[in-house]
Amino acid sequence: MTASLGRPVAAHLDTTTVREDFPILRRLAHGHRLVYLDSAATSQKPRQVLDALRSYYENSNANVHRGVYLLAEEATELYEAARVRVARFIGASSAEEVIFTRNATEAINLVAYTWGQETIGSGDTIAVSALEHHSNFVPWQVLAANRSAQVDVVDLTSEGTLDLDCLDRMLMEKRVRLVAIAGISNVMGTINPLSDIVDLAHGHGAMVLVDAAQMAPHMTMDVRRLDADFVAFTGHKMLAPMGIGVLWAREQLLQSMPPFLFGGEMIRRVTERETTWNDLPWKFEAGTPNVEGAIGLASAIDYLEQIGMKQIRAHEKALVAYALHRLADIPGASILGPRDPALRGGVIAFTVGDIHPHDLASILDRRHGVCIRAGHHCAQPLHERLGLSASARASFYLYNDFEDVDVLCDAIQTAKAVMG
Amino acid sequence: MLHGVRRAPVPVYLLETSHPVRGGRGRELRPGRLESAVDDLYRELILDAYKNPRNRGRLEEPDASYEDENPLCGDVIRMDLEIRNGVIEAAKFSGHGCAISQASADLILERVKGQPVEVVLSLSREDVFEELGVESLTVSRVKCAMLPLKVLKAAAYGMQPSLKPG
Repeated sequence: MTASLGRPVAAHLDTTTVREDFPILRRLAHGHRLVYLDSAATSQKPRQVLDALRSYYENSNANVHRGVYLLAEEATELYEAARVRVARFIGASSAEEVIFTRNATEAINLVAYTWGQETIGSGDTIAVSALEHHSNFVPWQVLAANRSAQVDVVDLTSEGTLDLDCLDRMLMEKRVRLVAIAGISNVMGTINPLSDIVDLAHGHGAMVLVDAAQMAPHMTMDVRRLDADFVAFTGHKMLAPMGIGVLWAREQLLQSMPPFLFGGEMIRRVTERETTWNDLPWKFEAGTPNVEGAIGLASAIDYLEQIGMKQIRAHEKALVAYALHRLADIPGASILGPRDPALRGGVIAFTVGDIHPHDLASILDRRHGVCIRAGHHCAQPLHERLGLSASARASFYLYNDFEDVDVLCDAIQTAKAVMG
Repeated sequence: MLHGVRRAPVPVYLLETSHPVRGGRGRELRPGRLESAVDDLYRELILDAYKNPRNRGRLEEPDASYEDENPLCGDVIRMDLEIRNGVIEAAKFSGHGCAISQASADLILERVKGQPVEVVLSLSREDVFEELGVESLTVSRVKCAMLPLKVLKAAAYGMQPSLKPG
């Protein structure tokens, strides 16, 4: 495709080939080419992942860790191989450190209900950032209320980055037991300086939980180098099906934590009087797990690594740089968060004049087939700080191209004309 | 086959845009200008009510008031009513939100002004759609459209009589 309007050419990955792997991108939306810009909410799925799910159900479906027959063995092998695949992807020391959950939210709740209930006491502080998604905010609010502890919010700078001085003061003045922080903000796109945060927190004896829901899909993540204590992420934002998430923590820490949910699979021995718990990681996986989801996640990781996480990050950075540049040319468009593409992931939240984001999103959809998110993006405290009730958000992934950005900008102009 | 191009069937609730436009009561339509926008939710009726509302504001001494929000999108609607002998003598709405919620508030008040309070009770989703000139709305936008009627009913029936203007 020839470049128009100074549109750059994708240099880091071949979007034409990538797009062919995503069957949904062939459908039309209101008669237009589908421009999917809501991958921060959920990603689309490549044929390879869909094939893996189908193959599992057509060939190997059985409950895991139960039967001794062929199918059960195959299903168990596939499920545990998926765990190994995830462990390798995030740089975990062993597969035992990978706990499968439903999603990032459940992974965070697991920590709050187990480690949190045992550790957080009266007068303790849990530090969260002003950027947090509700999933990394509400569990701590509830835990703090139950334990007579408090949640303190780390401020932002005017640029939309985290105010590390504020965190430092908090760590010095309060008994902070946990710093709960997103790797990348799902609204501002801010990439948080995790290594600085981890150093600060650990220097004051606080643990760190990283909500990596927006990070794991988009850039290389090595949990050992990151050195955080807990890392949570979800599969459906990284090409896998919905309903599979991951909690990572070091083996020793996981060993010391009580189980989360109780029932089958998580037990070692049940008598009428008492029960002992299974080994890691199954201690935290009560009931029949999402085998299909785990297999899909492993297949998604294969796909992502075949493209290359560095290439994906570079591609999204180029898309964001171009989008920021184009949006800056639209009178009335106002972008939330850092201006420097190096400081942000593939997420751009914005407002256009006084057009309500819902109206904007509806018009973009109906007139141009552009899917963006409108609302508070599960980050009401952040929007309150910004003095906004809602914003519009476009988010990118490996299958988006520069044409998508151009259509987005054209569509915004249409919305301005309609609402003007 | 997963490899072939397959178009997913479009759910019925997404098909609302191809219906003829009907005007809300008390609103003149200019069909010539509307025709071009007939396939779009953002047609003149809704946009006009949004941009030039007749009933936006607050009443100084309302007999009934209520305010509520749509937690999903943060839209806020407040309704003030002045009721004399069981008749809505004056009505104003305030708040903020998308064009659908704000237009719905304006159009529904236009409909009930001068009517007995009991009329409010009888209003339904279909009445709101009629005022907006749409046959139906997508699941997410129905909430925007219905918030004003919900608030109006709460105000008219004193579900929250303590909420006086402050």
